[in-house]
Amino acid sequence: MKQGNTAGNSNVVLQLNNVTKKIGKQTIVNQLSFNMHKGEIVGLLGPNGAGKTTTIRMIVGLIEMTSGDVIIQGSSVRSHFTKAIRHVGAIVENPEFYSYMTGLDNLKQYQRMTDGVTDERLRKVVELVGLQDAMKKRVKAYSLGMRQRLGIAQALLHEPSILILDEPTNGLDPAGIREMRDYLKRIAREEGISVLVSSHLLSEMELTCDRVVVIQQGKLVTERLLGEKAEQGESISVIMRVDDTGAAAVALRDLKGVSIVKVNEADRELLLSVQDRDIPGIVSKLSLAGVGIYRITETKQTLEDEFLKWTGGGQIA
Amino acid sequence: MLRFSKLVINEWLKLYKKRSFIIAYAIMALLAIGTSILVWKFSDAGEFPTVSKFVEDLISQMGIGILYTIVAMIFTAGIVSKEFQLGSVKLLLIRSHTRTKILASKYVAMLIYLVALMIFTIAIGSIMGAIMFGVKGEMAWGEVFKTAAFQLLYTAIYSTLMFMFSVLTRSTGATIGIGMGLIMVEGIISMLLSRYEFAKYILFLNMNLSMYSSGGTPPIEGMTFGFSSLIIAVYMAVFIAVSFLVFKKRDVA
Repeated sequence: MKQGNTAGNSNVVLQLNNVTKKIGKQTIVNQLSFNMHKGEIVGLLGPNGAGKTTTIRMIVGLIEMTSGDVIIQGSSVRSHFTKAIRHVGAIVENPEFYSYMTGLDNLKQYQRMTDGVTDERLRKVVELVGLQDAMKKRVKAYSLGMRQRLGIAQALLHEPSILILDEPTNGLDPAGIREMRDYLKRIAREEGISVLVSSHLLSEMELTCDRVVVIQQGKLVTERLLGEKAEQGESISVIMRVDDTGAAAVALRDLKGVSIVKVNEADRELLLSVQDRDIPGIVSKLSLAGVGIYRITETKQTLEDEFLKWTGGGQIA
Repeated sequence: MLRFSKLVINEWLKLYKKRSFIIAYAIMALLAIGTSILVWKFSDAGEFPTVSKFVEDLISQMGIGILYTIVAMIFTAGIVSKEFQLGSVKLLLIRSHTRTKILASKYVAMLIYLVALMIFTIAIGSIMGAIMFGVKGEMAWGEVFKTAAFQLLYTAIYSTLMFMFSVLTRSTGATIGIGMGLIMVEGIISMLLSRYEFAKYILFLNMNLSMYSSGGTPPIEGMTFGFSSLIIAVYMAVFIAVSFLVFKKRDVA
């Protein structure tokens, strides 16, 4: 288990402390704790029914916690709700609007609810999500993708430092999912805000998030760094296709930082666990040993395997 | 205060931007116009009411007052429940406002709606009265104001009750159903129970304060204007308290 706690505590923007939700005798969320740092994209990952939505609704105050607390920018959601929620923009499940009103009328509703949101800001947010041409249309006529974008616009309107999205890609087609992913990354980069996004799809998380928090049955299972951040110092899995697996295995056996996970004679493939910086060394070592290299591919298969392991291989999609 | 008034503006716009908004006003206009034509047709030229008398009778319980109540109830029944049905309540409650303030803004917007619809009805009634019967005789606008106030109060009581049901059931249909049911049984309950002493504590028997002003007798001896006002105040306080407590505590799942 790897803690993503590389940054100091001053950078913590969101903090869950033993958050618990019980309904009757059932415990939906059990003593859940994790932190989020400035500018970080964190995925809340778990199979259906793991308590992701309940957790997110407790963070934004839609559902009351049984015990524990959520601290946003130093303010408790339980005792100083209006102060804490000021820093949050959120979409909980599909964004639901007043469908008989236009996109602009809807955004103006939220503009009126926060002091200091100028028309200029509103225009900027609409531009960011690319809905300029749809503002005068009734939301009724919007596609799901457009609704999601309007959802992001309302969430960003009051310049929050944390964006919280519950299953933002639910019901979107592949193009829509990709679009959403690009928005999230751009927003995190351009607006410098932290993003918490829940999903049951690991593959999606891998492409978007810096870190995942995996929960199951309301409990924390593991926290993991992903993507570029993980590659600095954490091993990746690489498949190499060579002309002679035996000779390659011998040549690489003593190389520092490289471990041979599996040798597949039939396909003439080696599965290696290495770090990025070791790859050139491996290539030159194999060349020296006269081993021909046909292909080097990174494989993320193992992460998915791990996810299944973490979550007990339960129903994922 | 500025922020609260903005919340009320938001709630008003949610009512106003609906395509059906104009229907309530159209119904009241048609009722006022229809009534003026009927009165004109069935009374001799010498017996025409003054404009103010016509308006006073128009908006009273004898006239279209009860229809005003029903129309107002139908068009405000969804003010809380619609948010839950649309799912928009999620985006509404994650703003930097307390739930109490948000619900209060809805309640205030509802009361504004009642007043606006009453003023509109009186305006149309006055115009029709002037057209059909001419502007002559002594005008008693004070009486009109009094009748309007009683009818408004009567409607506000029902609307507050509906507001509570809207919070409790989160269903516009159920809220309208319950409201209509109550309006229909109100008369029967009042009639059946009015021989019992305890019935004077029932809201229905106290709701229409105009019974004290028109020289009529209250359903149970010993009831006074002050007594009924107190009963109304207690019931209203309970309806409002229940609405706010439930709305504040409810998990939005």
